[in-house]
Amino acid sequence: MSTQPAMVEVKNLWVRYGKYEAVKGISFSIPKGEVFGFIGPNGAGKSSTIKVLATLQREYDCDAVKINGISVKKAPHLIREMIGYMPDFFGVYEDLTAREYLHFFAAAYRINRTRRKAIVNDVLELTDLTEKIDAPVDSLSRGMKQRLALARVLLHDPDLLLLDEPASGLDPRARIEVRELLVALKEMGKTIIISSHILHELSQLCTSIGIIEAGQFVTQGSLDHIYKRLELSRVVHVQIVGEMNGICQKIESFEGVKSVSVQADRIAIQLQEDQLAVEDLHARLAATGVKIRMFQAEAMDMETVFMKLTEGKTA
Amino acid sequence: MKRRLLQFGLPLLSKELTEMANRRRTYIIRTIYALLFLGCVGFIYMDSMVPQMSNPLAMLGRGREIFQAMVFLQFVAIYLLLPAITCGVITQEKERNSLGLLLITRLSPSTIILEKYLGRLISMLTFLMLGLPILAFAYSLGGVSPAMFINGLWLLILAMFQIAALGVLCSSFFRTTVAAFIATYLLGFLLLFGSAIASELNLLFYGDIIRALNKVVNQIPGFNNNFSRGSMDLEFLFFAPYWFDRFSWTPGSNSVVKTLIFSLPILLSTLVSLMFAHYFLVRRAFLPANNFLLNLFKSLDRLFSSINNNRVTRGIVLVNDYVHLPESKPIAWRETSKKSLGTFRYLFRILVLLEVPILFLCIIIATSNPEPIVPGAVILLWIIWGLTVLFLAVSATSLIAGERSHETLDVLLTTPISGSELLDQKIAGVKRLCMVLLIPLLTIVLFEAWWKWENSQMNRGNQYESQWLAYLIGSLLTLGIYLPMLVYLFCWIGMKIKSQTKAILAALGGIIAWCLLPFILAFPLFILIPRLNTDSLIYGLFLGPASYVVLNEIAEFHEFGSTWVPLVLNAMIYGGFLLLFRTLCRNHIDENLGRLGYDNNSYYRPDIDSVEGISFDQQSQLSSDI
Repeated sequence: MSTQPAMVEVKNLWVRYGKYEAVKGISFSIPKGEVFGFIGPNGAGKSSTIKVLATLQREYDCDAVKINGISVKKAPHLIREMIGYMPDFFGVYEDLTAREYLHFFAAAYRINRTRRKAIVNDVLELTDLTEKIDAPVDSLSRGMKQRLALARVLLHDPDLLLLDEPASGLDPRARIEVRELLVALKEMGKTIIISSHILHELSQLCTSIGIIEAGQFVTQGSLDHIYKRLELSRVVHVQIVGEMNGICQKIESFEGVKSVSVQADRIAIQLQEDQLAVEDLHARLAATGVKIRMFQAEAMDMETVFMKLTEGKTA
Repeated sequence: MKRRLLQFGLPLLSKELTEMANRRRTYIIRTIYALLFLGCVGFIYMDSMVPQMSNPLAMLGRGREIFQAMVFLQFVAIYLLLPAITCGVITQEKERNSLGLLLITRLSPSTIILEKYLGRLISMLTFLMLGLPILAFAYSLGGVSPAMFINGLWLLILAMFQIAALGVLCSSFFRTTVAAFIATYLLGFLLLFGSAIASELNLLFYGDIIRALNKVVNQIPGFNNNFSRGSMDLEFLFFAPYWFDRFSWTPGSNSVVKTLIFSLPILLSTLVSLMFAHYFLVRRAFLPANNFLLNLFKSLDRLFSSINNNRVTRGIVLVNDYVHLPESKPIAWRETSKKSLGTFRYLFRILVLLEVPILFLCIIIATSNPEPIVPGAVILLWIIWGLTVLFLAVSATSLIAGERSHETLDVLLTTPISGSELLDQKIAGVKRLCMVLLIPLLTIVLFEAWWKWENSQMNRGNQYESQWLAYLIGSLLTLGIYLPMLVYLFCWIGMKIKSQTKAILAALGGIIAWCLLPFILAFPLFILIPRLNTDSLIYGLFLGPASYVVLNEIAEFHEFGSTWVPLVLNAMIYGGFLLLFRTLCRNHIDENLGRLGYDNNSYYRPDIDSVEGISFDQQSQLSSDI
């Protein structure tokens, strides 16, 4: 029986810079096709871990760091063929045009000359930069440079994308554009490790997350799993037509409702989702005979998770 | 009242001094300087005093030698250290984007210039003050006249003002510390020795003009006694040590007055530098990032194109310089088609700019010199060597350091290009530059060899001066070994030092120190071990790479008794250094750049389209960790 190896497997990874321990024995595994969000405060060890995977860290200790079943330490040259790394800075040559820049890296990845033109056109189209093909790189906006960097990592069709803070320093429009691009890559089946401080965006994109602080994981797993483990309650906003006499008490008596607070034009209900699902709450409210004008479940708040789990420590 | 005090509180100077005091390297450099300086003076003392130790009275009056040695050492320190100390004074603010913040405060541009200037002067003054105990000691031994004492201090201070002002001017004009550093040394060299060199080479009849001017000045009543050294006085107008040497021997107030009068040009050059620094401070505060060399070449391009568009040549194109997309060596492609010091057309410009005047000068020099050694050609060769080192230091150290400073190195390192391949491609542009610089160097060497051959036919010169074959082989070997050696050395420094500016400064500082190494080592050795004579340590000269170049040019092989032994020895030493630096660069590139390397020689290259080409055995072997 053959078992497919995880795309990324990290066991007991330690990264030290002299006496300073940036990463302290973290372990995680990412299956193929997953989008893994790497979250943590500055200096938590995110970039060091990504650098190990990108073969850019010489000194580290581990039981295993493998990509596609191949040891990073033993065959860095093979790993480089499999990954697309985007650092937390642009990393673009400003004396080249977009076309020259992409052809430069296509040659660096030894892509067949006959296929280069088509591949460059494809990635430019994907990143919506076709019109800028002959524009000098230094004339592009920050968002465009970031998309160009994404186009670069896609040239050799890598299995794993390592994206270190891809949305940092971008304006809202550019951030949305980059996010949409990442969603497209996710749909293409790429495995992505993404570190970011913009937690709201990660929650919309990631299938699982790892929160790292002071070089150690404080939690990891799927978002739902983490919410449930932390027993975080979801807030549901409800507007009811007419008098609300006794309604609040009735709702509070439902099993799974933690609290009910009356606000100016609505009621905010705190819900234990593992005991009462949002749709069940709606059904039970409707059963009481009240007329519901609005029923809106608040999105799960990753910032709350982050704040609850981390203490602002660095390694 | 308190507010007024704050207004006059020299905030920028306070900040400069605080920053300097907070840096550990300030104290390290000061300690090293103190040790070197006191050590050198101590050795001179031992050298001149030890024979007189038995007779204390004989020691009296010998303070003059120590004082003179101290003053000349301080001059050397000023000319070597001060440009490096001052050239970053404004450019560092520009590089940190903090000059704008300074300019919007109530500090006027002149206050900024003066406070910055004072800050660096105080720094240099702390170095010079290390000589005070020696000064007191020398004075107590006697032999130092008050006039000599005043002249020495006055000229030291003036030299300090002059060089610091030049550094501030360059810092105010240029955008980067590297450009200001190079410009300060070049301008300083031209200011101090430009006139003498131009006169020696009689460039544009400059020597004739100076001699004529000297005659005119000597006919003016009251001046005829003062220009006793002929045209030299006019050639070294801005060189303070010359005037110290000129007037330190004559006691009395007359020599102090003469020193004050003849130091006016130095003072004037200081004021002019400061005025220009003030002029450029705001005008050149926010310079866009541009490539000075590239702009220079572009303007030359326009000039050459306009010359080429005439009735005869009609815009003829000898080499088509069309830039194609990269094929198989992308890094080499970028180095040779996108960098100003790597592209063919710009290198050709450098070649024309260097080669045409050299050919012209060689013809002029040859027609006016009857000796086998042509001083003008020798100086020219050394200048071209200096330029070569400068060009190579800037371009080779920037190969890796430039990638780091532009934050593109990490991206490049995650591509499957191996370390040695990356290095080979990176130095492709520098290799081209080497070839271009080689041509003017070869021109002068061949000219000199031909000239020696001509003289050997006529039996002119001594036995070493006319050995054209040894000269030619020695020069060719030096060129063949030194150029790649310098490239690999500078490239290695660029890998080791993370900041591009620091890497270039370290490369230039390192090569100067290496060239001076035999003299730095020999001096204390001769003093400490008096039984050593110069012959026993003469081969130690080859510890510095510049020594053979100098000896070969002036044919000073008397102490060696042969031209061939030094030639072979030098070639072996620096051939070894070439191999060492090459190995350091090539075999340790991944280690120096901080990425994982693949040490196995049988480098496996999979099919690019997938890694499925790896066999099961290879997979299992590669998957076992550690």
